[in-house]
Amino acid sequence: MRLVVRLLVILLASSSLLGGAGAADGLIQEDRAEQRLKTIASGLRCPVCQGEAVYDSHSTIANQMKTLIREQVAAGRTDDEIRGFFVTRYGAFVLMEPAASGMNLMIWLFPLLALSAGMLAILVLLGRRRQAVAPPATSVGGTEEFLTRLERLEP
Amino acid sequence: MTTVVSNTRKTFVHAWWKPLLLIATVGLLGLFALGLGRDPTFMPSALVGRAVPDFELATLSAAGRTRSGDLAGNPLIINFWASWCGACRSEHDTLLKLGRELQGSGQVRILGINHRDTASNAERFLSSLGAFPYPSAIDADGRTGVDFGVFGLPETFFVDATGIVRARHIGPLNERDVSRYLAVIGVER
Repeated sequence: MRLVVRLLVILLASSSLLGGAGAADGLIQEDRAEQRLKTIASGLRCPVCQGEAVYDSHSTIANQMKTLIREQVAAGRTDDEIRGFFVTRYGAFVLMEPAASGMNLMIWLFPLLALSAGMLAILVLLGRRRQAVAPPATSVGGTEEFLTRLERLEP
Repeated sequence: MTTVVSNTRKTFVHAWWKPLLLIATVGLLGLFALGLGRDPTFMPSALVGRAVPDFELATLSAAGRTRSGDLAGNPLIINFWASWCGACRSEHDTLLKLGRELQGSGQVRILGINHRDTASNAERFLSSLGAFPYPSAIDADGRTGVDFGVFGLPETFFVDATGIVRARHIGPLNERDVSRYLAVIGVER
């Protein structure tokens, strides 16, 4: 009888341990799914808000989009597939960052172009100023002439 | 040789910096004006030019289901509405008139989609404002609305006879809008 009780205790203890491990596994998976939700929903624009991401919005549509993302993450779809799902329905507008292709490439390249143009302008101006400042330093003759004239003024 | 090159560059910059600055300033101001003139709430529709999404929904106040496939072959107007939507009230008369005028003609089919609503509220709404002369399907969880890219009500989609969405109207419809969109999907009034 005692043996049976002991065996039962051991069985219970081990099963609860296993159960605990299973629960932890589940938690980690849930955490990972939540992390993916955050990544995807932060990159999607809430259609009814002004410049707010789906992840930050509590509007009905944003909540529905979050539910759909959760469902699709659970169904094993990739981040790109999930983003594509919303782009086909709401258009490229739904992406917080426009894709760097086609006309949108201009949005990415223009600041770089403007910055390089500005830097070039500063370099050219600095070069010109140096050239303009340089000549007086070399005109030693001027100083000498001034000194001779000064000497001539003496009685 | 180098002095010659640097001199030409210098004269080029010297001669052109004023016009260049003017062009850049005017261009930026132009972009700014364009940006100010745009409606920040405007959302381009991804659906225009594409096939109407498939759906199968319960029918409001009637038995049976509404399937997108059953509606193919004719120009189609799909109107998303709800009892909780205030702006839907202001387009209600336009829709009633349009329904009475076109539903019997066989030229075009009209379908209402009751979006994120309860059947009882929807029925109460229709009994107080007048029932549509055409059927409505129930999209209680809003899933079909997502497939259409719907984000605010009312929204109306105009589909041509080949099943391609030709226009999307966001906000309440008026007579003038309706005439314009009907022409786009090949319906003569």
